[in-house]
Amino acid sequence: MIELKQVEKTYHSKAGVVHALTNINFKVAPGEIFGVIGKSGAGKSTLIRCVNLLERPTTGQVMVAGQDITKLTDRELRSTRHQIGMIFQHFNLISVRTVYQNIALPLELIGYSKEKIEQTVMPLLELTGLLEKKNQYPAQLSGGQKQRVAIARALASSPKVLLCDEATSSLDPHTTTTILQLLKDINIKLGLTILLITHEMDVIKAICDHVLLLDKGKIIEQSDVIEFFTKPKSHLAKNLVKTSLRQELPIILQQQIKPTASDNTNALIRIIFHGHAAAEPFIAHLMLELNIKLNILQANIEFIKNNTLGIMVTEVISGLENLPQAIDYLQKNDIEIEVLGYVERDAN
Amino acid sequence: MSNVMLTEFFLATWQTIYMVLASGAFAVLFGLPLGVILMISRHQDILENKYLNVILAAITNGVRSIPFIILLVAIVPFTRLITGTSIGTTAAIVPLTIGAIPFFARLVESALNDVAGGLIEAGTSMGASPLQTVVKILVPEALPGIINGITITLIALVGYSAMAGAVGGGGLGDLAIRYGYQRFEVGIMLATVVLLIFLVQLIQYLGDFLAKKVSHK
Repeated sequence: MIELKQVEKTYHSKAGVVHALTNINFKVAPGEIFGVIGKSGAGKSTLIRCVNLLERPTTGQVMVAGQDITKLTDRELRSTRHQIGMIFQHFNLISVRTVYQNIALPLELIGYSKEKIEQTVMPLLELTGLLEKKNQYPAQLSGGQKQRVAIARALASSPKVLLCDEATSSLDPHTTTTILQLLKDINIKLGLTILLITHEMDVIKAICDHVLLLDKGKIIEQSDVIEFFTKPKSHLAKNLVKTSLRQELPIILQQQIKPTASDNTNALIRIIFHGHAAAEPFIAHLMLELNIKLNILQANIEFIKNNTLGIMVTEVISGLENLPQAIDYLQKNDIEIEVLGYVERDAN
Repeated sequence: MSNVMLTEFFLATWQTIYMVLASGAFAVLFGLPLGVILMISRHQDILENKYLNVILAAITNGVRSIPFIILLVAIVPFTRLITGTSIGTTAAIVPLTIGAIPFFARLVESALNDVAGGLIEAGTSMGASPLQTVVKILVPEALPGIINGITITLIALVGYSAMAGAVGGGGLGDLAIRYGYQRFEVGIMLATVVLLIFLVQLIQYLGDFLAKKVSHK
């Protein structure tokens, strides 16, 4: 649905040339929720603005619904933009227009009749739960309600694609959840393709199908969201996942952990299992078949895109000599295992 | 106060109101589009045009640099062309308008600049044309600021109109100069000042009221 090919964006400033985006290539499939994550200054905003040409890439192609929009005339571009909805971190509602009038704006721009506008706006008010707020002004609404208005407005011209520019970044955690739910609902009900940028891993975890990690204007990695969380490749991704999944060891263990084994130490291992592997009684197998006794120190179950992801840190009390077989068995069952280090036997 | 004096007061008050409102209306009529063009010709997202911007800005600043009393007499041929005469209250409206257009245009430009960039961006993302951006987003959103600009312009015009006496335009300022200054009639001077203060307060009050009414922030 969206494809960026060889996109570069450079700015010329007094300080010299700034490469905001370098060698950007990615594809967003129809109907998926595609998340771009990165720190502030990574180029996320520039990237998403290139998709509807709020910023023109210096070179490269931007394909939306099969057409290279960088080649369109101004007039053609405007009508293509009706197919691309966008919502923003600061909502960008017109303060002198009511909720209803804000949602009607894109339709007025297209030139719909009053009746047709009403026929389009009313269902959107219902979809976003704003019927009662219809005649209020943005200043009278909460942040979450404002973003709902913005979403309804972005949907008014029946776009094929919705761009979300840090849409939940100025909302509190609870409101963020409700807005993400709404986005997911829309994605399912309308089959809308969503491209979002965020700096919050929770957003990725909650609704994205696909992740792209951006840093200093370059793509660091992109993958399916489950793969991203279970097998992050780059250092940056590993760190993000670690923080997001609360994989950091308790401080008391971090202080005691040693890189090498000695006579009176036990190994600390981390086990990550997801999908069908979660149904496998693997701890029982390790104990009964391989004589490995484990002591669970930390365990966490996450839900990522309707998938279960379990993370467990255990101390190997005995049977360390059988660890190679254990690793073999676990990997066969799609369970990841990693030796984190060693702690003294009586440490806890 | 004699009846003659009272008639003079009524006439002068009327002349001031007439000059301020008529030139104010023309200043808004021409200054609003000028302010809009000044703003959008500088804005890369709408209709950037450096040359147009530089030329318009130069003309605007040029007219604003001319002391009003000079402008009043300097454009006499133009005034005669428009009104058929260079003397009188109606004639004074022409230089007052010419002086107020660039003044108001800059106030409009500043009010438009205060519209958050995000709103313009949102409009662009919705496929708004430059004209639609101006009509549907920029001007409505800046309306409270534009109304404040009208208030400031009208009050400035009250001040400018005091000089209209130089071309026989009359008005309260002229009355104060003729009676109060040239004839040392302090009472009349004070009375005109009080009337002017009242007029300015009234304009400010109405302007604030309207600006508040159209603002929903």
